[in-house]
Amino acid sequence: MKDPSRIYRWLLLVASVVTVVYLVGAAVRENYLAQWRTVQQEYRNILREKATDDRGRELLAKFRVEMKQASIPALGTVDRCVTCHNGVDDPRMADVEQPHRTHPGHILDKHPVDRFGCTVCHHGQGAALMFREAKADDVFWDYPLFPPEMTESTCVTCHDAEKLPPDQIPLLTVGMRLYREKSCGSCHKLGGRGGALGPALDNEGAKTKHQLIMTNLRPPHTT
Amino acid sequence: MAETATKEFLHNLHELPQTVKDSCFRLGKEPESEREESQATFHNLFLHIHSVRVHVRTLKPTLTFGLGLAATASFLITLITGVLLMVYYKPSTDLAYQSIKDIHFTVSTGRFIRNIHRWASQLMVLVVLLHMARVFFTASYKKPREFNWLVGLGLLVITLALSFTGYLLPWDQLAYWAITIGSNIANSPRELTDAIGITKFVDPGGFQKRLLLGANYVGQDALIRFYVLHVFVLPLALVTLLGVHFWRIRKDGGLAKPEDPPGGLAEWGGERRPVFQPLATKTYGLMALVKGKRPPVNRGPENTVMSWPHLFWAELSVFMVTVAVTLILAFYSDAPLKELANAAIPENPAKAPWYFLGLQELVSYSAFMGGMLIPMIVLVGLALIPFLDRRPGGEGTWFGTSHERSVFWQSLFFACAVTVGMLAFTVNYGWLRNWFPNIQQLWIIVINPGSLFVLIFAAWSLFILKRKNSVRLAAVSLFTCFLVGFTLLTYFATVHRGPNWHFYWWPSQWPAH
Repeated sequence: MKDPSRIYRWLLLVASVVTVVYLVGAAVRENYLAQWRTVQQEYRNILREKATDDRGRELLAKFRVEMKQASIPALGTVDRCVTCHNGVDDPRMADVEQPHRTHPGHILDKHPVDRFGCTVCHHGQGAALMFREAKADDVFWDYPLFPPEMTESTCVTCHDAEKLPPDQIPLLTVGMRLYREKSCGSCHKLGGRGGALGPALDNEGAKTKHQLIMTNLRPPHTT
Repeated sequence: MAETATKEFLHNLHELPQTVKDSCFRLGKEPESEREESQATFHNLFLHIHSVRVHVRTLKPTLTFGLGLAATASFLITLITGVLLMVYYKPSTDLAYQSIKDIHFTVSTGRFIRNIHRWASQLMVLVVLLHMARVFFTASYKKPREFNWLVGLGLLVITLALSFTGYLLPWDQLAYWAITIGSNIANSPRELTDAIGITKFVDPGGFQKRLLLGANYVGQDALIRFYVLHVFVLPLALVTLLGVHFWRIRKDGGLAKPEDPPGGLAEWGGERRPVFQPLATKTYGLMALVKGKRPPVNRGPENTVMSWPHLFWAELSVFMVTVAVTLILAFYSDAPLKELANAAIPENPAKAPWYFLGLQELVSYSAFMGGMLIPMIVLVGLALIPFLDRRPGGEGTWFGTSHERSVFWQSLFFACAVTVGMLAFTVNYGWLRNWFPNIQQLWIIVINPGSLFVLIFAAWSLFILKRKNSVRLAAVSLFTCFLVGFTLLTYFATVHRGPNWHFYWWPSQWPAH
């Protein structure tokens, strides 16, 4: 052995190079390669194409590539969905591809994003900034994003289903009819009315994906 | 006068960078002689705990593999990343989980920092265990290093406690149920007090659990206790004890090593040459009062090299290798974060952190034996090693005394056979409760696979003691059995235990709920 610390100096060189490479790599990956930055740059290009009038030019000038969120203390939610869904309340975006498209229907007229957020209706992980994490089908999250046709089920979180226009809540209407026709209420309590044979159904909607036992709802075990 | 003062001022201004640098670095330049290299070492607060010269054996990579340094390095990494995480973390059951989610999603490189923290802490537990094994198998606990072995054991316990308290903080399902299991292990003396019917009067298990959780369940009180322990009490204790540990290495004469042959020569630099001239036979001054072998009196040349730069290159390289390994792990593998903690949905199986899974396997046989008595026996046994094995020999050499290597291999195979055999038997045939449903719990506490492990391993060690007529070899056999038992039980409980603690070959075979 010529020099007792020669091997250590080589080791130090290699480890330091690896360290620098991974530090820079992580900084770039987490800051500049984030999915939402690409999405917002796409959206800015769309804004530029559509900036044909004064209003459009103003929106383009105001647009910043930055994280956006709707923080709703009353609901205890922080929804960052609009970081990628930039066009939800811009009617000009009705014909562009997702995630830039306008929110369908007129629901946002009475439920603006900055007052209600998104997850109060759609569920999913509002805090997330990656689509897979936000959709939360296969990640650790209790309330994954609803399929579009199921979204009406959350209307009853705030509204009385009986007083909503039936054409806006088709599935819920079918459900309420079935509930009456099949006399679910003779065994189960709902809103203080009904039998005591089965468990009360008031908080079924608050169950996490791990608590929903679907086997009793599918044939041949239907009760 | 005015002109010269102005000149002086301008001159000083011009010299400013150099004078500031000189005031920071007392030597002020690259050391050029051994005298200056010595000064570089002992003029620096952080370096002066090293001796100025170290034995060449210290620098041999295969003597220590840098494990102690790697453990220190991973601790420093957790310290730095931990402070960064503290800036965003909120220790409240309502906010904790969301703050971790925010660290993941919105804090710049927050996810990466949390990954580093997680991986460095896992690495620290692993490396501390390996470091203990290294010190044991190189007989480095022998006189005068007995006390430092005890300090090391204290550091092991604090390391486990640090990792365990950190486990709860994310307040997700993994954390909640792992700590529920962990606190039930603390509750395990109750199995014994229940069995002999004195829980009403004496309840050490319940006391331990309440002390840990501040309540009878894992909630806000537990979270704040774990937080205070994790970010303040335990790091402070660890740093203090680490200082003692390092100080004692120095005071005990550096790393353990065999005696140099008298009149030996240095073996580095491509030639053999005397490094030290024979020293004076008398020393004067305060140094003569210091206990131990320093200063070396009446001894010839030693195989030493200057600490600056050789030892510091070695230390820096181990540190950077630890950093690099942690970064690579953190880059590719995210720290787990499950759903929000929910007392209504138990995880099945609920598993403790991996380093306690061996204990959890033993707890599944008997809570008192696995959670209380066996860990106590192991800790006391480890602490007693340097005081029961006092014959010098083999210090600083892997398997240094005769027959050590063969006893190690024999014990390894023996312990593997016993552990695998016992686990296979228990999985296939059950235990006393399955054969005699009405048996008294006391019998199960006394006779279970865990207590049999201890008995069989102790008997094997006694057999080696008699047969080889050596305390060191008996210690080697027992320590090897402990390592094998710990490793295999941890592996078994991690991989092969599924829902309801039933046996499965692979987690992919667990029934879907």
